[in-house]
Amino acid sequence: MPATITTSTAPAKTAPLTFQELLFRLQSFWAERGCVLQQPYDVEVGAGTMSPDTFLRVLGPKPVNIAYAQPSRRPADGRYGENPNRLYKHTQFQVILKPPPGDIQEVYLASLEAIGIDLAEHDIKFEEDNWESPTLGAWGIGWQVMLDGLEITQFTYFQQCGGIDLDPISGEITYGLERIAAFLQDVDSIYDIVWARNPKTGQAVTYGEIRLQEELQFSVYNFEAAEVEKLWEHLRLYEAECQALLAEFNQSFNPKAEKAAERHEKIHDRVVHEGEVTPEIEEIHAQQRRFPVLGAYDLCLKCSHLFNLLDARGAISVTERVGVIGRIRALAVGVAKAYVAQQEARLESGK
Amino acid sequence: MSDFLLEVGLEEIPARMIAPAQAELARRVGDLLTRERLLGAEHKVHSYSTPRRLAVLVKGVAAAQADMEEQLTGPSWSVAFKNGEATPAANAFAKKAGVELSELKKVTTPKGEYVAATAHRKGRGAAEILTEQLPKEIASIYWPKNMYWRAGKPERYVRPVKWLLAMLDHAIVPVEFAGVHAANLTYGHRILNGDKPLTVEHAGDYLGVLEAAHVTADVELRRYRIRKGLDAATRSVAGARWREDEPLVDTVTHLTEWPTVLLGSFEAEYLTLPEEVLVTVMRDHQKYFAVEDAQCKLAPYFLTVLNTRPAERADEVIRHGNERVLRARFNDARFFWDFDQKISLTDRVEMLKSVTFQKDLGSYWDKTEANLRVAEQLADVAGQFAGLFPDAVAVDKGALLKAVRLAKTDLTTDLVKEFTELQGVVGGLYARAQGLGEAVAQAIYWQYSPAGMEDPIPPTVEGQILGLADRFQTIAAMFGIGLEPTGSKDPFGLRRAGNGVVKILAESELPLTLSDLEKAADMGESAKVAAFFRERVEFYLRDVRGFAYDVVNAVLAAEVNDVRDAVARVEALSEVRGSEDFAAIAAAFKRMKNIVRQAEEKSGPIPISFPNQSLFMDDAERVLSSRASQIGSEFQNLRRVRKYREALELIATLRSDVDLFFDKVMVMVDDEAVRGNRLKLIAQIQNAFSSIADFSEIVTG
Repeated sequence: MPATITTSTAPAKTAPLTFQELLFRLQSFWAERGCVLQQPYDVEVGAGTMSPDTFLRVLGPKPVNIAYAQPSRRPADGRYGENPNRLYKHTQFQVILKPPPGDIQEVYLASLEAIGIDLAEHDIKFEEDNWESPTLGAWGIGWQVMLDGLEITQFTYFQQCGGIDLDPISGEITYGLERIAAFLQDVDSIYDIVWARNPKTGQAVTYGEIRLQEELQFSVYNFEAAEVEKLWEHLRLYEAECQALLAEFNQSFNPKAEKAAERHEKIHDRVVHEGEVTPEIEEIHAQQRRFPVLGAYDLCLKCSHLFNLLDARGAISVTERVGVIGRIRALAVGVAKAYVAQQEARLESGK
Repeated sequence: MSDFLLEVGLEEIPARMIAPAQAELARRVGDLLTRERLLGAEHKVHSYSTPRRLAVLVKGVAAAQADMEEQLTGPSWSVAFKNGEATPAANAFAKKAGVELSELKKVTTPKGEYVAATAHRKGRGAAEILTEQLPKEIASIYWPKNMYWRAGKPERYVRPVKWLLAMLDHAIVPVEFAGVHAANLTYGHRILNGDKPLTVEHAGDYLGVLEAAHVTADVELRRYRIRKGLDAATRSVAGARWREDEPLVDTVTHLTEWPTVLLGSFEAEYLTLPEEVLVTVMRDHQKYFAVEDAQCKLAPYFLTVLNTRPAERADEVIRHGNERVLRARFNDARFFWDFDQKISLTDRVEMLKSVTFQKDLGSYWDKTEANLRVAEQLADVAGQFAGLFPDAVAVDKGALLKAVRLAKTDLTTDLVKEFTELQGVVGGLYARAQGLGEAVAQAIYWQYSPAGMEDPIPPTVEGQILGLADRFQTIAAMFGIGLEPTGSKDPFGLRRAGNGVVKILAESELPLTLSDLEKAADMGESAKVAAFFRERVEFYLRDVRGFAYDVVNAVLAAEVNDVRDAVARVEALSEVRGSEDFAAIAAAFKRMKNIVRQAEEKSGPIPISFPNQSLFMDDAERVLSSRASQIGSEFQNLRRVRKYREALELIATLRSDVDLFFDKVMVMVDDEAVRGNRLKLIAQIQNAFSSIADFSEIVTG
C-alpha cells in the first residue's frame, strides 16, 4: 500500500477555509490526481449521482476520473430556512474513479488533510453504509465516513447502475460540503458558514446571505405554490417525450437491425468476416452515434425532479407512488441501455 | 511443532459481520489442519479481528504430514500374472502404488487370490498444503453482503482484500487470494501508524507487533479496555453511571482497532426532550453511551468510543466536534417536535390515506379502519364480564377506539420520519402532550411492544387490545392475499407479529382466545392461520418459556385456542410428569392410543359411547370402567375451574386399575362383541381424560 498521506498541503489551522475555498481545495486536490473537473449539471438533480457525469459515465468499460460540485435539490427537505441543519438544496462534491485505484481510501484521507483536517487530531471511522436508488436502478457497497461523530462523506463502490451490472466498477466519493464547512468553521448553523471573505477588507459573506432567500422561497414554492395539476402535466409530457426517443432508438438500433444488415451483405455474395464493419453497419453506427440519448436522459431527470416536487406537495397517493417510481426507473433503465449500446457502437467503430 | 499465522487484510468490514466471520475463519483453518493431519496433540487455535483484518494463529502445527503406509489391493492374481509373467495390469498397479514389480504380493481373500502392495505415502509439507488449500477456505467465508472490485469480476467478497500475511514460524507461506500474494507484512493503525508496512519476524510475534503499532487485535481485550475506559471516563462525573448496553459495546468493539473513551456533555435544557428521543439519538444514531445519575435519570453527558488515541490536547477538539454533532441532532429533534405539534394527531388521520400499508391492502387509513373493527369486537368480548365479578377485565372502550384511530398517525410526523425506531412511542408522547388522556397515550405508546420476546407486553388493557388487534389484523390480511411467511422468508415480520399476539394473550389478563381474534378479524376458517399460530404458541412455550417439548406437544395436541389456558396446562403437566404414577399412566395412555389406532385402521372409527356393562368378562375391566366414570365427573369439575394439577393427580390415581386391566385383559380377542366393548372402554377413557393434554405424547422412561 503506497503512502499517499501528505501533510504538506495542509493549511494553517488558524484560518478555516471559507465555503468557496473548501471547493477550490477539493477541486485542485482531485485535479492534481488526474481528475477532469466538470461543472455542475444544469438540470435539477437530487444528488450528484444523477448527473450524467456519474450516471452514464460509470456504464461501460471506459476509464473515468472526474470530479464536480453538484447542487442537489430535494424539495421535501426544505425547511423555509428555519432549520439550521436542513436544506432544500445542498452541495455535493462528487468524485468518480473508474476503476477505483487500490489506494482509494488513502487518497481520500489525504483529501481531508488537504482541506485542513489534521487526522492525528481527529477520530475517523468508516462505518458500513450501502447506497441504493430504486429510481435509478442503482446500488453500491460502502461506508459513511464519520469524523468526530459527523458523517462527512458517503463512500460507495458502485455495483449496478440503470439496472446494468458494472464492470469495471466505479468508486464514488460524495462530500457533503455544507456539513464539512460548518465543521471546519465551527458554526452551529449552515447559514452562518462564511461563503467568501474579501481578501482586501476581510469582510465575510455568509451562506445565509447567498442562499437563505432561495431556501425560503423554494420551500414556499415546493410546499405551497407549485400547481399540482401542472406538475402532473409536465411529468406526463417529459415522460412521453423520453419514451418516444427511447422507442425510436430501440427500433432503429436493436441488434436485430444489424443482423439484418449482415444478411443483406451475404445475399450480395460477399464473405463477411466476423467483427468486420461493413459500410452498411458503419452507416447504422454513425446514425446511432448522433442519436440524442443524452437528451432522453435530461427528460428523465426532469421527471425525477417533478416527482420529488409532487411528493413534497403531498400530491402522490398510495397507489400512484410505487407506480411513478417504476415509470421513472423504466426511463432511467432505458436510457442506460441505450447509452451502453451507443458506446459499444462507438468502440466497434474504433472511435 | 510450529506456529501458523494467517491474516487477511481488508478495507473496513461492517461491524456486524466481523464476529461470525472471525469464528468461521478459525473453524475453517482448524478443520483444514485436522483434515490434513497437521495438528499436533497439544495444539491451540487463537483467532483475532479488527475492522481491517481477520486473523488466526494456530500453535502446535506439524511442519509436514507423517509418512503413511497404505495397503492396496489390485487386480486378481491370474489377471496380473500369466504364466509367471507380469501383464500390463500388474505393471499399471505397481506404478499406481509406487512400488517395484518384485514388491507385489499375493493375498488370498474369500473371493480369490489378488495382487497387493504396501504403498509408502510420503507426507506433504504443511506450507505446500496450506498454500494450495487456504484460498478456497478464505473465499468460502460467508458474508451477508458481497461486492466486486476488480475488473473482470474474478471474485466477490465483503470488501476489497488489501494484504495477506501467512507464515509458518519464520517462513512465508505463499498463499494467493484475490490477486494478493501473502508476505510477512501487516499494517498498523491507519492514522497512528500510517501506511508503513510492519514486518512480522515470527508467526508468534503477531499480537506484539500490532500492539506496538496501535492495533489491539484480541477482540476480548479490546472489549475489556472499552468497558474499563467507559468506567474511568464516567468517574469524573460525581454519582454518574454509564447506561449498560452490551450490543453497543459489541458494535464499538468491532468499529475500533485502538479504542479510547471520551466523555462529552450537552446543555441540560435538552433534557426537556423525551428521554426516548435523546437515547435514540445518542445510541442508534451516534453510537454514544448514555449517562445516568444516581436516580437513574438521564444526565447531560455522553460517552463516545474513539478509534484513536488523540494527540495532545486533541481530545478537546474531538469532544467539541462530537458535542457539536449531538447538539445539532438534538436541535433537529426539538425542531421536529415543535413542528409536529402544529398539526394534531386527530388532524393527521386523514393524512394516513397517503401512507402505504401494503400495495394490495391499501393505506394506513384503510389499515386503521380495519383495526377499529377488530378492536371494537375484542373490547366487547374482553369486557363482557366487567362488573359481574371482581377480577373481570374492564375496558375503557372510548379510550381504546380513540387510541386505535390515532395509533398510526405518528407515521406522518417528521420526528418519526427521522427516528423510525420511535414509531408508537412518539405517537404516545404526542397524545399525552396534546391532552388526549393517559389511557389513550399509554395504549399508543406501547402498541409495538413486545417487539422482541424479552420485551414486556403493554401495561394497560387498552394497549394490549390495540396490540392484538393491529397484529392479528395484519396477519389475517396478509394470509388473505397469500403473503404468509415461507421457510426463512418473512418480509412482513408476520412471525414476530404472531409471537407478539401469543405473548400478549399468554401474559395479560384478557379473557381472549385465538378464535375470538379470528371472529373479530372476520376471517373464515383457515388451516394455514391455525397452523401458523400453533407454531407460534409452541415457540412461545418451548423457546421463550423453556418447557419440555413433549409436554408442550401433549398440551397443544389437546387444544391450542386458549393460550393462557395452554400455559396453565403446560405448567401443571410439567409439575406432575416426574411422578412415578403419572409416568405409568402416560405409558398406559400411549398403549391405549396405539390399540385404538390399530383397531381403527383395520375396521373404522370406534364410536365414543359408554361400554356395555353386560359385555364385561373380567373384573379388571369392570373395575376400571366404574373407577373411570367415578373420577370422570370430578375430573371435569377440576378442569372447568382450571385446577389442572389436581386434575392430573386425580388421573394418576387410575394407575393401579389401568395396570391391572392390561395385566388381566386382552383387548383384541376373537369375540367381536367383547372386543368392540373393550375398545369402546379404552377409547372412552382416552377421550374423557385427554382434554388437558394428550398423554401419549409424553416421552416416558
